[in-house]
Amino acid sequence: MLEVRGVTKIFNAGTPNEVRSLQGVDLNLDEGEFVIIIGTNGSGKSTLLNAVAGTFLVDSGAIRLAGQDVTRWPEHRRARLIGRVFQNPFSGTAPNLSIAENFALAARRGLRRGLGWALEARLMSQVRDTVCSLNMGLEDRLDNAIGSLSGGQRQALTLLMATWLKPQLLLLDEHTAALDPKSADQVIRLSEEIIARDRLTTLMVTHSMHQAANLGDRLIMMHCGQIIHDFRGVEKRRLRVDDLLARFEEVRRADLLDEIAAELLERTYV
Amino acid sequence: MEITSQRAGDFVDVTVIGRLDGYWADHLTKGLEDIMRQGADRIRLNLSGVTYISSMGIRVLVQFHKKLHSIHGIFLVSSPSDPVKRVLSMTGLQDVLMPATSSRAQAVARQESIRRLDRKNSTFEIFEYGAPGSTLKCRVIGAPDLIHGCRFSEANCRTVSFPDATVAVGLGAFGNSFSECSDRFGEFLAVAGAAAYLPTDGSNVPDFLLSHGAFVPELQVLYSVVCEGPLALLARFEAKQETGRVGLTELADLCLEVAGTNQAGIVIIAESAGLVGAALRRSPVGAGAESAPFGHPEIRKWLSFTTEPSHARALAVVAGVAARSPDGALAPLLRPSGGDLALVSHFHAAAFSYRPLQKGRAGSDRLSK
Repeated sequence: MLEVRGVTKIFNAGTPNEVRSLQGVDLNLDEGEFVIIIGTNGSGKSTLLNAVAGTFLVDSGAIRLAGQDVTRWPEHRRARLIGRVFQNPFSGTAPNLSIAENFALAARRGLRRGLGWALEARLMSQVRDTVCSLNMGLEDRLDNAIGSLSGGQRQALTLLMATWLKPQLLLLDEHTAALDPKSADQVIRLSEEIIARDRLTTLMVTHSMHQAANLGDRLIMMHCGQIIHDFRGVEKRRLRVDDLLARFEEVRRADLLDEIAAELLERTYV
Repeated sequence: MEITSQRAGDFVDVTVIGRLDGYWADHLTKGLEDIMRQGADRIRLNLSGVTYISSMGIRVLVQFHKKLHSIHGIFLVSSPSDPVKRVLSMTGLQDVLMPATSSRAQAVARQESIRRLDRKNSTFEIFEYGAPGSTLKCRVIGAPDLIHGCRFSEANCRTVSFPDATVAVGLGAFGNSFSECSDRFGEFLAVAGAAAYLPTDGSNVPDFLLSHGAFVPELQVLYSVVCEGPLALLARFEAKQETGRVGLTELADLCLEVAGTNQAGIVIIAESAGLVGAALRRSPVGAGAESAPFGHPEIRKWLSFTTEPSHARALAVVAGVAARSPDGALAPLLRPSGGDLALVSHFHAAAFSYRPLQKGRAGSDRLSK
């Protein structure tokens, strides 16, 4: 479904602020696969998601999505195939438009928006049913501006909108990181439900080790712009929070191992 | 709840003020555990200031009574308040937690002629142990030098079993053959019929084997130092209050001194104040690059190094050899210990969840358990 081949991205190339964000990333996602991405700060997790979404064009490598080479496609063109939920509940929705209007936009994502009636009755009844299933009491507030809702409510709605058209690929970029624990839990449960129900191919970035250990059927750990671990199948199911913390500790230790320590170990290890 | 403690001879007097109910039971457990970690094995709990005790509170008392009993320590309740006294007598725990026989009589029973030593950071009690006067036979198996370039191959691997009277450390793996183990060779230690090892197959989860009946732990070994024979001395140590910790080199030095030897096989069981060391992350088999595993930066893939002390407060089992000079048969594995004491040594450590150790002379099977 998604094929990322040898993708590199350098920001501020040739300047003192040069950052090698992606250093040859290879990643293949089968249809319906739910992949969690974890990694240290600045490891390239979000950059990888942005590279796939087309927020910027990659320096080298290729990205294929649903059988098409999208490497040179601009972001808005890829949006036809991709649903996204961001960390910030204020991204991903139009705050001054009502819930209903936001849904109307989502329903025509990637399509031509003509001069037809946006809030037509059939769509609105579908929206009401879906929003009702959230059990947040929002179905009676479809005319309220979405900006007046809490972060948890907005993320739940954003998730519904991002998956309204059953995208070929769903990108979740720490979409619960800015929420209180209870709302985060609600949004995670909703994500799981939708992904399982529609068998959505999903890439989800998270900082929560609990989410990483308990969600998804594959887990990728990134460090310094590269994928350093790829757990799937039983290996993924066996992972516990402690195992993941140990991997992070390993990475941290490796980074601290400098030349002086290397010399010391050469003299004293055996 | 307020918990204060104070040393009184062999005992530590702990005074508790407040309600000993479900909410505070954990707090008391933690407080008592900390006191035990500081070396107390005789605790007297003054409950005169406890206004109420629930079953959760009683559970803590019973737990610590059992815990200390199991290491031949003493746990008593003194001057309970009326409500506590009533509960203890009704539950029949009064006889157990407040025995009529004076604890002093039991305390006296411990006095025996013990050789004591006092060092900069620690005090020691020395006991004859197992087979007094006996010596260990130590030898090096394999060619440790092959670690440079990770050049171990099937020809360097042998199957070695580690029965009861053996202390060994080295590189090896659990498995039936070299080919089965080639991607998981890592550091191991074997003591008293138990072997522990850290695989390098990426799992990073330690494994162990215990001898039982006719079963004896067996490893595929790339290299090892093996010491065979019974241990001859037992040195119990306690860190002094001021520092709270004793260095490995200081312990090794004392072992050499009390054994009157220049070379010794040593096993240490102690609460860790922090382990510092290195462990392989990949199996050193089949020609890697010449600079493997120590060249920088590849070393990051090959070795994990505790840049800061790890496994503090765990129970550490440390095994290995120490010597005053880097010559002789063990030379290929002896490295400077660091510090002011001119020692060479080779130790491996395994960390376990903490449990208290018995004071005084303990049977060898107790320690190996």
